[in-house]
Amino acid sequence: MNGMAADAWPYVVAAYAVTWIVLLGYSIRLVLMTRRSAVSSAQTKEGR
Amino acid sequence: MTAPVTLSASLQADWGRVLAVAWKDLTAERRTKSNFNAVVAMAGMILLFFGFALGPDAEGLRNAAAGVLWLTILFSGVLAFNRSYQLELEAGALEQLLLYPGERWAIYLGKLLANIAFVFLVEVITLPLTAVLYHVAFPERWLSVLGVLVLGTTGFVALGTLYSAMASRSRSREVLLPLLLFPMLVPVLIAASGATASLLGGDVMGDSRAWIRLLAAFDAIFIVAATWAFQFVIEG
Amino acid sequence: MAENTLRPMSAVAPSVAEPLVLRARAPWLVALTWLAPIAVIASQAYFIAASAPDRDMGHLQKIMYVHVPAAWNAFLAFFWVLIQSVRYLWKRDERADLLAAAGAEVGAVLTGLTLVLGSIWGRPTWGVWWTWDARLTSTAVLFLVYVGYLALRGLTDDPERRARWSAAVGILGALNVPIVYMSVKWWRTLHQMQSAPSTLDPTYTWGLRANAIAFLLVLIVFIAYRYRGLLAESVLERQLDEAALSRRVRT
Repeated sequence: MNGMAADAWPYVVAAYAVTWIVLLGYSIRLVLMTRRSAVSSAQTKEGR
Repeated sequence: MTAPVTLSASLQADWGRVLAVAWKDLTAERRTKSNFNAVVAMAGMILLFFGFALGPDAEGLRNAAAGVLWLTILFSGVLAFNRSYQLELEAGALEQLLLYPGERWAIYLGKLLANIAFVFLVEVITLPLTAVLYHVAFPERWLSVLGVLVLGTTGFVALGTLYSAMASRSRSREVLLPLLLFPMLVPVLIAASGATASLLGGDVMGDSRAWIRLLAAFDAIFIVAATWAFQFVIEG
Repeated sequence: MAENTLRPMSAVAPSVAEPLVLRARAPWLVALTWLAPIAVIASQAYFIAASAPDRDMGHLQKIMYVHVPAAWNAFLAFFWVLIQSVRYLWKRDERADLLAAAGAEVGAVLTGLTLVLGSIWGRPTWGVWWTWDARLTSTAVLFLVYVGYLALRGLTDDPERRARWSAAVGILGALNVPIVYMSVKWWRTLHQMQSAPSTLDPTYTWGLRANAIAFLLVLIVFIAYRYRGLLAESVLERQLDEAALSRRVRT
């Protein structure tokens, strides 16, 4: 059991890294999407 | 409905509509047979290909037979569903069908019956073919196997009929239908191939009864749910 | 079915939807946007530091502080999809449909994360990246159900039809969750039994709860922003339609 605990850290680090990549990645996607839709909505209003 | 009718009379009228829709679909299929032939050919090919992939060892093939049979039924049957609605999409047939008086769910049940009959006809060929190719002996409890076949097919078709009503009217229906349908069918696949496998093996552990109960519950739940959901799918 | 461009795009009039887009900078959302990441960082940091290595799992237990909250919140998101789908079919409010869509997307992201984390945990624990465990397998099936839901949304153009169809798929999908779980569980137990010892260390359970709440805040923020984007898209589509329509009327 102790041997397993010793090499557990790479897996723990990987798990938290994946979590943060997913959370930040999705946040970036949301920001980009919001910006894009704001821009195109402004353009339509000008067009009219 | 125009005339004031009692509940049983109106149910009778709805049942008549169900049969009329089923008959219409089966007649269209009987006249062309193109769909049936294609689906049977596909089923035969899948059976051969699984055989190639799994290897010629007779014992291994026999153990895999139940699972392969159900995968073949699912993969070939899914081809038939979109066709059932494609006919309706041509020349505005669906709009006309919707203009007829009566309940919308009668259309669903009619199509369900027609599709079940269709998949059964495919199974009439697939089943003996599987037995021959995978060295399966005639099972002692063949009546139970038949029951599993009925229950599994019903659950599969209940969802397939509903989802193909959506998929056939979307963009890229060929991809969408399996993507929507197959995850929902995981219980059917597990229970049906589990029951079939244990029945083919003599059912020494009595596993098959639990699986048959699960299949029956799945069928009951999803026939009711799909009949209810169909009105929203077909609305416009 | 011929697409009829003269049909109104959706049940909600622009006058209802427009202020909602503008009011997206609601104080509660701004507050949550700051609070959610802080809560996640704080609860992760605290419980990584505070939790002693588990008797059975060792430091691997720390993976549970992200794996379990992700799973709980994924299920919560799909429950949210179910509620909003029912609400859509009942009230025919376009906003319910968009809320369901936002929930499904965020839920799919969290389910994907749950699966990857389960795999990372499973490798050192069981020695394999994947095991056909009932919970893991039914989570994978759930993930596929909602991938299908999102694909259906992506491949249907008419907003009103898309809303009805995806509501039906969302409800049937939720209905299937317990059946899938039961079938996979029986399938497992008929072959072999695999039981995990439960850990009852209070630090551990509190760690799960705190991290779950932090993730819940993230879930809310994600759904809110995704909903906002979808609403903006819907309003934009309607504007484009009106513009095209007025041009057609003029000529």
